[in-house]
Amino acid sequence: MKWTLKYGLWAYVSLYLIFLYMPALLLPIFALNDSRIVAFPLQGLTWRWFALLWETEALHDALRNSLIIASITAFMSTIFGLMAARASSRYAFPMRKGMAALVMIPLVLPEIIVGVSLLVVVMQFGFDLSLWTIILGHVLICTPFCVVVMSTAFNNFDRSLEEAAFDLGATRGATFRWVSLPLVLPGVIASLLISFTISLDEFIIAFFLAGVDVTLPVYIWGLLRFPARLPSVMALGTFLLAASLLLLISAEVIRRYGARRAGTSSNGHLF
Amino acid sequence: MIELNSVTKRFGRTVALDSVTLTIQRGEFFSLLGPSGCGKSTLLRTISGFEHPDEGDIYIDGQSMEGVEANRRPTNLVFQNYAIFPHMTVGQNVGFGLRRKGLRKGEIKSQVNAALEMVSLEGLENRHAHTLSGGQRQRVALARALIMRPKVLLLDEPLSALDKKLREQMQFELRHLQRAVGITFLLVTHDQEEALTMSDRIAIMFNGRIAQLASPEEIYARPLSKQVAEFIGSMSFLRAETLSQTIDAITIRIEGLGTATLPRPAQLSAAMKKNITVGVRPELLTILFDPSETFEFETPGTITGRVYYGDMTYYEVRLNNSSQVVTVSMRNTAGRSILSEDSAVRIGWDSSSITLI
Amino acid sequence: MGKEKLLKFVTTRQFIRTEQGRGLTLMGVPFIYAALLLAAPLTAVFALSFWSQDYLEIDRTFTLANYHEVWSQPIYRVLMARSLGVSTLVTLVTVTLAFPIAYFISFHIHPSKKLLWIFLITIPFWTSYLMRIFLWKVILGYNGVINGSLTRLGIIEEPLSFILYNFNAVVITLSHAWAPFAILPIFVSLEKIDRSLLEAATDLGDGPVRRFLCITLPLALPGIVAACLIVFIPTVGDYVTPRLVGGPDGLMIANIIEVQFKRANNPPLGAALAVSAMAIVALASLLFVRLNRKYLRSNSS
Ligand SMILES: Nc1ncnc2c1ncn2[C@@H]1O[C@H](COP(=O)(O)OP(=O)(O)OP(=O)(O)O)[C@@H](O)[C@H]1O
Ligand SMILES: [Mg+2]
Repeated sequence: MKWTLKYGLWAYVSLYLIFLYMPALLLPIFALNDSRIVAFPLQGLTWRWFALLWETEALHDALRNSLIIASITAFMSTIFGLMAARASSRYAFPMRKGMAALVMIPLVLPEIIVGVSLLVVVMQFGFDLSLWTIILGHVLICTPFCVVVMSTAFNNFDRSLEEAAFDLGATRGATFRWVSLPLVLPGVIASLLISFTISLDEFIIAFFLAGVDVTLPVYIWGLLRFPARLPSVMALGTFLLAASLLLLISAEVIRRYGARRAGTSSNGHLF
Repeated sequence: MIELNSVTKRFGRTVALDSVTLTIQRGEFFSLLGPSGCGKSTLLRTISGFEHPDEGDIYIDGQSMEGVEANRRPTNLVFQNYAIFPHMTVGQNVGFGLRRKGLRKGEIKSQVNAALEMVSLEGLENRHAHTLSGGQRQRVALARALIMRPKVLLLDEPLSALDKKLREQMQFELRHLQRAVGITFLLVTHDQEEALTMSDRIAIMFNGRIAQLASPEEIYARPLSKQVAEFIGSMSFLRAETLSQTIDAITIRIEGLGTATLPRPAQLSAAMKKNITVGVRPELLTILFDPSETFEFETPGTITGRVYYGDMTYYEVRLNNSSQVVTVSMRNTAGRSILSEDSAVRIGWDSSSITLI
Repeated sequence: MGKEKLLKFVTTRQFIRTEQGRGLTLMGVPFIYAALLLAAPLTAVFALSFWSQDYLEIDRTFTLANYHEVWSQPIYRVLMARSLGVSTLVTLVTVTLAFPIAYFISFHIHPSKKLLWIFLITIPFWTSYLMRIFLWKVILGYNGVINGSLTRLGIIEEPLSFILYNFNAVVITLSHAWAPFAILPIFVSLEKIDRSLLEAATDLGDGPVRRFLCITLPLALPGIVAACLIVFIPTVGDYVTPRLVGGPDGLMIANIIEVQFKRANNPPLGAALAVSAMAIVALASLLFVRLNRKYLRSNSS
């Protein structure tokens, strides 16, 4: 009974993993497949879809736009997350819960609603759609995630450390700079990475709020209508997957380095 | 030196400090003793500036501390959990305050080394904080605070996280350190032994109030209340009756024990009530093993229980002719056997064994 | 304190010196941002839904016509019902499939390897959302991996129609897309279960099934509820999946909202649709949470 349960579970997990990995595994396969048609049987190996990416100017523009948007979004929402998390974990003040709730609302709002409502405002005031309008929307939806990450970071560190620094004559600024910030740094990095990734991947809001300059997902959306471009879309997807994996692994390395430096034993290891 | 004038601090409904008034002398080793939750930490945090009193004022060296923030007060705090900065080395931890003051590197370095030497941690300045043992962390916390040369060093249960052996050693070292640097120490503890062995004076707190403030000997010998007496050492309480009293003596009859005449304690000015409670410390009673031994007063009793401590044995003895029970401690000296339960014994005592409360 | 006095106090330097002041100042920045860019725009959408489009101008006289249209026209009702149906089904499928995985990682994996497994679960999701959805079109579509390959290999003659550009395709695709968002909260709640509780239950003679039903499942419930909400709410408003794999019969409410705002140029109607959708999602979520609480209370008593 116990054995069948255990093997049954393993079998299920294996099947589930195949389900999870199926799309991702197809990416590199079709990116390297020498055929304009994305279907089996495979036709042979080629690098030309990657080469095509290298030559497409519009793609480079979109990528650059996305990187600019994601960087600014990550920066702003992490600062907002830091402020909100610190305020709610450290200070007592009237309406704390209510204020925090409003900041967290985008977490439970379909993105299309955020996109639509910002679009309405932009139209009403006759603003031009630009990268900035996208950034405004992205900061809104990334901030709740940053708040969550930063709250864990702040709750994990002992408040008496700050008091000790203050007691030793440091000003509030110096206390933050030399004690609080170094200790929540892993959280800050995690928050930057998460918001960067969310922004980089976000489609709906960018779709609603993009002007002439489009982001990478909006550009990809455009490509999807042309079957002839599909193999190069696959190549692009492969590239993005590899890049984000690299980012994730380096983030984990930084996190473990930070954890070792802070002396907190990290529970569980990635590698 | 430190003066608190009816300092009151409330957290919502709980009154953590209830009109506390006390003065601490320069260079004194002062202990604040009390059970958990009685407001010891709150008092320390109020003095160091992390809490602001709702009423009353605090003066340090004659200067009012009102509106002076924690980082500008001439006090330093050793935290209960030490609060060692985990991302710094020992040297960086100890030098933190001096760096914030903007001292030159070389100056900081020599002062750090001196401070580490003072707490016998020479040569550890490059160790990472998280590689330290509990005792070492404690010393780092101490050095980090002492290097600031505060007018008062505040210590919040600094030894409670250490094991017994290390704790006893640190008690000793702390006392020496205090003498050597001459800084006023204000130590918070809930360990009566710690307070008794280290302090010049002790304040006992219950529920945010100071119940008694006196030297260790005074508090031990003449507790002002039953609560204090119970908290410091152990004491048996007996019902008694006042027979007669003069200006400097009181005659009482203790149920089951006998009649004695005691000098009137200084703090007792009004006339004694008729029915009173007296206390007896276990070590001031003796079990008379030898028939030839005699004492000022002798009372028969029966052993109802015993606890063996190695060097001492504590006996619970029920007094004949009474339901009252006293605890008697006896040193286990050579040739003295441990008495079994239900043995009939004679208890020897004299009038100085009795404490009026 | 009077309002003016409060305002005056808030703008002084002293205020920033108090604990309350520091907290309010810190929280104030993200709060004002959210108020300006979320609360105000949502209010604007709400207001817009009561106006009407008059060619290029917006007519600002109050009207309920948009809502009348939204709630009476069959097309909108169908789309709304389909959106709710899709996301309910997706929630059910995703959470049901995810639970054993979370359970497996939490109870059958050595603690030192757990993070690695979580990583393993999330790797496929580190590529763009669009791309993942699109890959399901590649897998399920007319000329896709399954149908294309099967016909080419001569196994089937006609493409399998039950997964072709329809409701089913949308459900499969979304269930995949939201899998980690269901696994993670359940995993977290399972991790919080005190293992000694389970040992105690075994000691008391509870069998594995009973132990699971009486202890593990109730304690994991908060995670399951969170997983349901995390999957349900965004999927109602999903735009990409229906467009890519839904075909004409798989479109959802988000697609029609977009049409109203862009091609049909009738933002007030789009706003009414958005407000209605939001209201329904909020209602459904609240109902779900409420029911769940009731269940918990009746269970504990
Ligand atoms: N920040 C706070 N908010 C609310 N109540 C508090 C706060 N700090 C202390 N208290 C309350 O004030 C009382 C005194 O607390 P305090 O920490 O001073 O006790 P203590 O004597 O140091 O106890 P312990 O020996 O356990 O450290 C307690 O009832 C405690 O719950
Ligand atoms: Mg305390």
